[in-house]
Amino acid sequence: MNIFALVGRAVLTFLAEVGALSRFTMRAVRSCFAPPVYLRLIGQQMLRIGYFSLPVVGLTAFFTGGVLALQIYIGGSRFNAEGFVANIVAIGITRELGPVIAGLMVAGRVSAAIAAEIGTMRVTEQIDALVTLSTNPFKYLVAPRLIAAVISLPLLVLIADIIGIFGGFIVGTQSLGFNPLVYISNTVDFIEPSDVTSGLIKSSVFGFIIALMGCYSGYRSMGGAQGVGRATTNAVVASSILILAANYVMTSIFFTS
Amino acid sequence: MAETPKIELRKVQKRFGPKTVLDSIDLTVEKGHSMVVIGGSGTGKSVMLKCILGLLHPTKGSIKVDGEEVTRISERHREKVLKKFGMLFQGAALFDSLKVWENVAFALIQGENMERGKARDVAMEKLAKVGLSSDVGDLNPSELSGGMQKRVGLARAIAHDPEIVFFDEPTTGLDPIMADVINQLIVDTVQDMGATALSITHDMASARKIADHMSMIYKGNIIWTGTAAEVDTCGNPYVDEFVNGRADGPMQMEVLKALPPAPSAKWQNSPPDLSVRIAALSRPNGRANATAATSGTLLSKRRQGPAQLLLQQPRNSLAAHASSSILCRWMGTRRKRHAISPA
Repeated sequence: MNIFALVGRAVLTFLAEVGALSRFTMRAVRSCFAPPVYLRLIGQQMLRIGYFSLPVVGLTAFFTGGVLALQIYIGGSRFNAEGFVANIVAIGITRELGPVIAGLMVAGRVSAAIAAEIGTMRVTEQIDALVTLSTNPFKYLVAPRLIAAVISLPLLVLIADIIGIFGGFIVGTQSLGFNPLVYISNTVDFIEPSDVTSGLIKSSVFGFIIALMGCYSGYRSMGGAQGVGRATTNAVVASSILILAANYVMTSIFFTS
Repeated sequence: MAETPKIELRKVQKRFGPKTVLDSIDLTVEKGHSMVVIGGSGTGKSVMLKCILGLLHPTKGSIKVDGEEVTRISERHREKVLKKFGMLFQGAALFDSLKVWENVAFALIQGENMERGKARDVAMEKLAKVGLSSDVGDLNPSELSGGMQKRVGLARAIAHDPEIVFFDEPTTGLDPIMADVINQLIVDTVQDMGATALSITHDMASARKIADHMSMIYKGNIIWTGTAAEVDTCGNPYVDEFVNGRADGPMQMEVLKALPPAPSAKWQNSPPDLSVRIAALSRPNGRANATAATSGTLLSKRRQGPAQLLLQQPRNSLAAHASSSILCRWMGTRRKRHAISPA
């Protein structure tokens, strides 16, 4: 086996995938702005992506906040930083952990569900049927999910931020012995609007990635049940990795000047 | 004065990478006629339909609908052209997330912006036309049987009164009675609407019932076109073989080449233990059986080696191929270097 052929094939396949994804993204974004806009479908998707993800996101945020408080207290004792628990929990949750962990949890739930649904539609020819019934599948299937995800994720992350800080508060006041009023005033004094807004902008981008990868994997699935299973896995893996990569890029843009 | 044909395909070619599915398709469907395209599985019939609809783009060739070229048109133009079409898919392809009446009224609500109450009435009327009661309209597609799903699919395809209707294997998977119900519905609705119909099927009974004209696809080309009455007397050997469902014929040679060689009855003349071993070796799992069979017995009986015994068998091409490959596998040599000569 020629090693050059192997490497070459891998590179070309990768570039082809990137190209296909870019074209899909362009079509998807264009379809969000052209009429008809299916408000009913957007509402349905916001319910599925946003509202039904609340329990997962709430629990995740609560435990993340609690663990963060614990670790800062214990780890911070090495350099006398135990008193900073409230501040660091607030900044850590709103800037990073809230958006990223909520994004990852929602990616697992939502992009898998979207990929499975659209993948099944693809293998049962329902997408071809849409075309024959004078409906653009991008406007009917992809655009509502993209718009719903971009709107729902920031709202979810806002709730995650609140619950996360609350989780830190519970651990801080019950296990670590902080005074509740001091804890809350520390949180409020040291948090800045830019922390929260940067987190919300990040979560919008994460929402876009989640819906896009779900739709892309589902749209291109082929080969029956196994194809749909592969598409679902690819959607979750791809959206998780892209979320983490995009997080790094956005953090470096927002916080280095 | 010839009228513009409704659908015209000229030299349409479709390749998927190195594989050519459609080689050079020439097909004409006149307005108001019902054309059925027959052919074996995997010959490209569905690909042809999808090329006409624009779901796939042909590599070469021209497709005209009402005299208008539709192969390389913009998306907006294609959306307009597609309003003339209705299609019944092989698995009905109903939308699981919507109720049955919403499925049937889909083209009306999305394509014509009809308001929901009125669309529901039209949907119930179309369901009645295909013999389904109005309470079926409120069910989910997953709650229906195969025949009912096909009928709902038909109602959905004709709901917006299209000029051209496509049927992709309409009777596949249905029991004979339901298949005839579907055939009758196809004939009735196409006549009622004066629509042009193009169907693909391998069910000859269905084809004879619904067709005015028939065409046969073989290896990516249309090898015969004619009226439905001519199909039995056309004299084309491929058409004859397909229409009568015979296992032997010019097309069957292609299928046989793909199978591993089977033991023939002529092996009976050889010593019984050897023939059993040879038969075991020539089964598809030849390798596994070979080690078991050749370990003890054959090696000990050195009177006449297996090569000579095999070579005494009558020669037909399959047997010669089988004997040389079994021999080579057993002796572990490459076929090229092994010279088999009569003893």
